[in-house]
Amino acid sequence: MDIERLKNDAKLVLCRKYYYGGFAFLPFLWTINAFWFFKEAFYKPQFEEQPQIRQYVIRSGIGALLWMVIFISWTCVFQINRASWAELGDQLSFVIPRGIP
Amino acid sequence: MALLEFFGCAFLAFGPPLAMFLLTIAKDPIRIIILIASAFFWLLSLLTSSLLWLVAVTLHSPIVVGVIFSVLFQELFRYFIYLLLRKAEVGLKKLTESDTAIITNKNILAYVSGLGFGIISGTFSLVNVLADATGPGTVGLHGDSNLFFLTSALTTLCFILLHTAWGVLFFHALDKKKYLALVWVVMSHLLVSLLTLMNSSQLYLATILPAYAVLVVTALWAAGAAGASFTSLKKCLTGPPMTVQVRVED
Amino acid sequence: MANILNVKIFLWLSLSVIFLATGLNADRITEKIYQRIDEGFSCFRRLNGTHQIGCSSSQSGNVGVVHFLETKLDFDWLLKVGPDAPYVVLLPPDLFRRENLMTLKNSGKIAGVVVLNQTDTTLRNPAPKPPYSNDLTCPNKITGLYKEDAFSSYCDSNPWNPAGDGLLFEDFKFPIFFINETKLNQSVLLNDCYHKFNRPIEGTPPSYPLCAIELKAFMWAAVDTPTCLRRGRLNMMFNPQPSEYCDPLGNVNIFVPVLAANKSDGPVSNRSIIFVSARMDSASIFDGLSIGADSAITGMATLVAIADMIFQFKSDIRRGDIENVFLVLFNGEAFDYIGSSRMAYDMTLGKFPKPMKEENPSQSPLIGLEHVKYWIELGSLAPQAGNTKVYLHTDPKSRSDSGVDTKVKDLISILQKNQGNLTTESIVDASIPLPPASLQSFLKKDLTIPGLFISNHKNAFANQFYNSEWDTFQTISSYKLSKHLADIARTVSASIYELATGQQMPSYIQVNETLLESTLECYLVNANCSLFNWLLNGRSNLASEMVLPTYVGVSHGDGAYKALSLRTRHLLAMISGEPLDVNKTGCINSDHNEIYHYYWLGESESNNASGTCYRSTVKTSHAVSPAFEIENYDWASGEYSSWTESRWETFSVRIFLKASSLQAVSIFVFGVVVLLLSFAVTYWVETNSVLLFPASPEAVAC
Repeated sequence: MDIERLKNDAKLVLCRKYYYGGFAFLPFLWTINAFWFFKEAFYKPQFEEQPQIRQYVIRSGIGALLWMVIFISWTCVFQINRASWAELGDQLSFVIPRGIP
Repeated sequence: MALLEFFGCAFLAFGPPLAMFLLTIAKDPIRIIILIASAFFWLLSLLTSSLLWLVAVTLHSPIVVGVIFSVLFQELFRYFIYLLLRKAEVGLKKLTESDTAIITNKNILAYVSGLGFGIISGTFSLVNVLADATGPGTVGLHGDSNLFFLTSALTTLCFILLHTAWGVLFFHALDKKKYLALVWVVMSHLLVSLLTLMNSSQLYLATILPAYAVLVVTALWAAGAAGASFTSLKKCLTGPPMTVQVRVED
Repeated sequence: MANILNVKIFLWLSLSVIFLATGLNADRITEKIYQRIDEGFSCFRRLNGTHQIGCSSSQSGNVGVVHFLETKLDFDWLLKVGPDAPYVVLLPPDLFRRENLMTLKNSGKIAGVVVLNQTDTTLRNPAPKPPYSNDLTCPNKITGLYKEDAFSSYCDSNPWNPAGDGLLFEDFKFPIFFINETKLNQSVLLNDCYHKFNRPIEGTPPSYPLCAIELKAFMWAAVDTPTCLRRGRLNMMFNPQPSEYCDPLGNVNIFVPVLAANKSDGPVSNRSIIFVSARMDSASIFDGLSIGADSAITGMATLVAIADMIFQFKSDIRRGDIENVFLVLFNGEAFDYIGSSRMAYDMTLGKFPKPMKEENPSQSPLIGLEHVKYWIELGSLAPQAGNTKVYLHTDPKSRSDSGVDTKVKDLISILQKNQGNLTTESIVDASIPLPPASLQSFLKKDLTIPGLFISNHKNAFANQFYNSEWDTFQTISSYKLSKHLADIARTVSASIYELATGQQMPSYIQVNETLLESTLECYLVNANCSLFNWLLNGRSNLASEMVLPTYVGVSHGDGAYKALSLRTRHLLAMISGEPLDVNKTGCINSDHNEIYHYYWLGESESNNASGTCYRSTVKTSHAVSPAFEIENYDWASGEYSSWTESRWETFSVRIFLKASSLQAVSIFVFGVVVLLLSFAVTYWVETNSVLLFPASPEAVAC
């Protein structure tokens, strides 16, 4: 879908949907929202709905970033400590480690 | 290290056709279709050769016979794609309103179908060799040359470029009824293919050097057939291309 | 993986067609690159409650440049010069010793080790210079009887296995293979690979291309037994292709109650059964190389001979207060007494031979430790050059009780009375504990059992190759062997006769030396022997001239018999069995119960009607450590054996040439240059095409 072709109010509705959708533990929605509407929010000449879109884009961006930080830190913590967590480490693994501590 | 060898050989054999495809073919859907069609015709020739070979094996024919018939089949199917393209010309004219070059310059069709032949034959002869190149080892334990991958890639590249040139020359010869060129295409194809038989006795240079010599002759001939000459070459080298284009578009 | 394979097959098919068609060489390229070596035996990973031992490669296999270490001096060059690390070293068997392996392991330059055994044309190869044992100096000490008492330090100062370098219990992060090559034929690894490409000339490193080898032996299990069991369980739950990561070591114990008894005859009286036992397993680092000639087979074969004699006089047994004689072969003894500890465990829990079931009328009465009158165990028995004495070991711990001591003395005196041609020596020194023996498992549960361990050594093992791949027929072979074992069998049988009846064994009861010799042949020289083939009705399916490994193996819980257990069970069935006049169908369909089994033996392939039905009391019991039965077992306790064996997918070895990195980089750079150049040229031609190829007017006209 090409958002260029949408009317401004429809853009706002779409952007809002993505923003609220992201609260259902769907950080990728936020990520997409932030990228997709970035131009609309900051580069397009002023239009009526722009401030609201901008707000959603910023919040989605922050949310996505937060999730990313959480993901990355958890991944680091898990990878570093899995072996020493022994049983817990195995239970948290999706691919059960084979041939390694 | 084996991975380096793999990428080196892949770039070597498929770099030039990749550049030709991306810069001259990919921009026009019609050219892509013709490329695929001609590749398909080459596959048909392969199928025919294989069927013949099935019979030949039971008759204990030497491999030379297989080579000769395979070359003849490839040229036969090149003739078929020529016929097809000439028939399709009218339809193509309707389709390509924007790009008139493909209609006005018949050599483009010939070039595209030649490249199609080249790419598919090159792929078939090298991909499996390359797949084996990804392992930890290289050829040579049983006394084979350890430049096997390199020579395979060079041979493949030579065949891809040869097929492109043969395509142009072949179409030109039929269009202009210049049968000497036609004879050259078939005979040089036979010659180079038979030369590769020497690979089994590891005379790689004896294959590659004459093959590239044939490539130079054929390529020059094909370029000449397509209208290139020393004067046109000189023109491009001296005149800045941008102005040239502007002038033509005017 | 399957996808890649499919693509490869497709490409290969396509390519073979094009190669045939265009006349290129039709050989598969991999065959030009790689040569597989299939004659290898690999080291693999085992785990106990706290550690992992053995070897594993990486998942894709370890690759290294081949280097041959012919003598000790060659190590210097490899460690100090050797510029082409990682290396895979070829070691002659003599250099496969702890200090060398540790040097290699710690050098960090090693990707793997191949023990290159160059046999001569007869395939009879002399073992390396003895002593040679990869077991511990004090085998099975942790799970033995003397764990926390005054005798526990005895072995430290007087090791039973002084040759033991403990390599079997070392953890290697690289694979180790044992490869047999015939010396006179073309040696692939040495001639075609090392000497042709890699040998340094006067210390100068060879130049590329070099011959390299890939060793693949990837082990799934890691860390220790509880970890791999847990991971296997998780994997079984969540993986679409479930599989365990490791299996408990296990097999079957084989035992024969000489007299058939039914529980309806009433309970067994206390102290009324004589047990005669031996072990039937040994070990080595390499999978499939554990003949255990003296570690296991000499004792086992003697027990078979004894069984044959006892069954000749079995009707005399109950003349005194002896009610029965049990002949037992234990399995898994090399790994912390798996078989014996399980039997003792089952006995204490009232589960031996089988738990009682009301509804089953044909069951043997329960046998417990309190029913054991005497225990006679046969250890390593091969006669030694210059010393054919047989030593009678006892346990000082149990003998500190005067009642037990008296019975043990009785036992010894009866044995010595019946020693005949043998020279026996009983160990009187009360500071010397029992050597490693299955008896320890039973004394651990009940110190009142009067027991005796018969072996060919006084202090340190006479067996110089204890639990190693070199414990073969060649190392114990002597003209005295079967004669000596027969003497021991006669002595023990006569003693049992006297213990049971109080009388001398009748002189017509003799050792069946033919049987003894066939047994030795089948277990030590060629498992494709006529005796084994007879026992399996001609369907043995073994390669000729192979010897079956005695390694205990793993228990998958499917009850399937391993090759050696099956043959041994049938052998004892033949000896103990009563031939019946029943045809094959009747025999197979007979009422197999917990007292009797029916065996159809000796059918020849050509004649289905031949063969005999034997009704025998031979039974098997699980030889899986109790640790795997007990819920919430403390794996660190060392109470029972906790050994598991890792699973693996495949072992593979292949050699090939490795190009220099300079060559690889050059080819890569060349390729990249061609790629960039062709883009530039094509771009230039394309932008200039109108000028370069001026459309000729005729073309348009045409």
